[in-house]
Amino acid sequence: VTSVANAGSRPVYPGEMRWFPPLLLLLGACASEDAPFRPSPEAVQKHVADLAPAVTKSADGLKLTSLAGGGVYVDTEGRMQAAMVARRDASGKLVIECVDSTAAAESFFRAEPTAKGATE
Amino acid sequence: VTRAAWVLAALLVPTIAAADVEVIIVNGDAAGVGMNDPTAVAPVGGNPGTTLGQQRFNALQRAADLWGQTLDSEVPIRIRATWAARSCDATSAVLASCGSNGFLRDFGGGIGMLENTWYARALADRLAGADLDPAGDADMVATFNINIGKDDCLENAHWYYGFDHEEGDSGVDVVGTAMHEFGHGLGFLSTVDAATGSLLSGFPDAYARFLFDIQTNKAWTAMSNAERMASAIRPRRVVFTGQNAVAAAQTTLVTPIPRLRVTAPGSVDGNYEVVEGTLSTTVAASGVKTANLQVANDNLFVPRTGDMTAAEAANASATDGCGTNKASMTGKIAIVDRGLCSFSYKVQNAQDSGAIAVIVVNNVAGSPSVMVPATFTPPFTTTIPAVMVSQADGTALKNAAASGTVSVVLELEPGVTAGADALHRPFVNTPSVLAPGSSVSHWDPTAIPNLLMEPNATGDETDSVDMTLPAFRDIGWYGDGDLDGLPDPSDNCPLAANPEQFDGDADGDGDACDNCPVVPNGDQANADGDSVGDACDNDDDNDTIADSGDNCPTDANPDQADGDGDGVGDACELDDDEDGIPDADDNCPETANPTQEDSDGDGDGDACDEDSDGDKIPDATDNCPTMANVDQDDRDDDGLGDPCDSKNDSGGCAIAPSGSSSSGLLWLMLLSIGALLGRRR
Repeated sequence: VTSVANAGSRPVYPGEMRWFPPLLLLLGACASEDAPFRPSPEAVQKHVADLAPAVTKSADGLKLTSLAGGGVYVDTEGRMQAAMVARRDASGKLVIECVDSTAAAESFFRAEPTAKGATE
Repeated sequence: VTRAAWVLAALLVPTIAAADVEVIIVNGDAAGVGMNDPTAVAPVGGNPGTTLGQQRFNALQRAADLWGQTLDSEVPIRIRATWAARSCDATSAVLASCGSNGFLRDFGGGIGMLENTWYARALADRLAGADLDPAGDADMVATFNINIGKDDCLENAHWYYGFDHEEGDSGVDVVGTAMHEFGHGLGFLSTVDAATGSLLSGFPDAYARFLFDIQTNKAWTAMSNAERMASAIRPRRVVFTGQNAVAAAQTTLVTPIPRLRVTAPGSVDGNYEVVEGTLSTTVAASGVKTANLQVANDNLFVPRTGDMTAAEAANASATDGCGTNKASMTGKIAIVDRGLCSFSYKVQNAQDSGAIAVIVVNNVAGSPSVMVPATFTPPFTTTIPAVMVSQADGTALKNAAASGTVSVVLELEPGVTAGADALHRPFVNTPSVLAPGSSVSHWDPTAIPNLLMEPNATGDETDSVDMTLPAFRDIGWYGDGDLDGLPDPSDNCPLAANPEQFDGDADGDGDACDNCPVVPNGDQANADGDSVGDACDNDDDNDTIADSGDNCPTDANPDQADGDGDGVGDACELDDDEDGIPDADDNCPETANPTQEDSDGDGDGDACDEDSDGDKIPDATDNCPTMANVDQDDRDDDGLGDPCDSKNDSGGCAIAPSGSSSSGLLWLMLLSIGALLGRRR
């Protein structure tokens, strides 16, 4: 992800107009009628990167511990989680979905979502 | 505000009925932020907190309490929660995540523990009756995005901290979100790596042990990694087999689902899977539709505001259903392609042309999608049912319809309900790779009603844990549901404490829960739903007529009506096609035809008669299927046989159907007129 530092704590991504977010939203809607609220590829990458350590099911590197009283314990080290993600659909409506893999998250952010269905 | 202050506030939160297990939210936030944020706020939706921090904590504790009152464990469950920055931009965000801090297997757990099986920590503790965590850390971890609603973080949205699930269009329900995510941390989650199909360290988890692929007839535990990967993206082919979940599905998932049955031609006949949307009415509400298919033939599509761009409209096809239809579809079932415009337009256009139902052909591989209404104007007035078929099925049907008549019945699939298979096993979510969505650790989104552990937040969340509770019972929660010391799988009354296990009639059901303890009745059949099983009930249907003299002993019919006098009451006459005509008297017992039309009088109703007029020409190829015309004459060559053609166009004259008593006279008149005109010249 290409980013440039700014005065705030959060990076600004190319094309963003941080100084007036409502205008950005409006311009975004005018510029791309078919998907006014679709996250940019950079945003999707950022979301997936944030989610990846939590939702991965990979056991690579996880340590198995034998318990004193018998049995085996594996510390997931923050993995094997599920995550709730949100975005707006083409009409601007909030759509929320739970994902438990980066593939599912990427699919949610890239495709046109709806609340439990498709409009077209 | 001090930590002690918000702890005190939390104690003032209205409590839920005594919990069976204490679920503790461990505040992992630093001073002054997250659940320690001192910003003053007004109480909302039953959450009495007066600071932002208090409300955040209270909302999470509310979700924890809701789970706590439904689960049983002697070991408290601790969830370490934090409110922190997560990835977001102006229109999308990561809201929250949650999971178990670890998994355990073969820990010497008590009742209900399966060997060689991973259990989420909280569940393992419950089975062992002790905290097994070697490090003494929390059982689960949860993180919530603290920036939602701020600039560049899902702007114009906000977390809703009320307990009443009244978050509105711009709110995100914290309690509902936390209930769902905590559900995963408690064990509603498979640890199978979707990317490789591999099991965690070679062992299945308690959840995956109940996953079964109905297409390959294989349990997930018996599959290779490659087989699991393939199964995970096979929509509505993977079910959860736990007996408690299956039993619950029979009373929870009761909405019938439609199917498309093609009756002719033979090249495409059979049953087709369809998925119903919420565009207009349902097949259940509108009744069985029997008709021929009509492929859309559109006029030029004119894009409407909010729908498509002009550039996209240029890609319109004649079969996408987006433009108005060139010809009438009266009495037909329209078949249109998915794409270009919203489903609402397709259905509206077909309805305006007279169609009685619409079949939308998916434009991507995989299973059909659930169609929902367009969210923009104009208002639609659709009243006909609409379903989607897969791309492969739809293409076959369109091709057949293009070369002849395709007769179909849009009806309800007997015995099958939304969200479960024919054996009432609930589907888990296995979206095709092309569809957005999460994986098997959710119920399938076709379930009706909406369920807590579906992947989509539907805005109608409640405090209920619905189908998840019986599934939890299956994976080990409530290993001894009635706490009588016997594990549920070997308890002859798992929901009624009976440590002595008395079973007087030796039918496998303990006396404490047997609806007929003196007569063996393993099926516990109880037609009238009273407290007495049929085997002991001399009036099984409670209609005041004793079974011995009841002409319909399991269907209430106090009037004993028996229209055909066959000794079997009308109320229990078989009527497979539900057209009101008992099968014994129905000339088409499997195809709804309440009018019983039988053009050729051969005893087979037209609706199921492949040669309705008895002229030896099958309907599929007969140019006049309802009137005998062995010669297949078609004077104007318009494809419609003369007997059916009230207006032959070739001569511009009305031609009486051949075989009609007036045909000879008509021809004589025409010849006379011709001769007269000839003379005048």
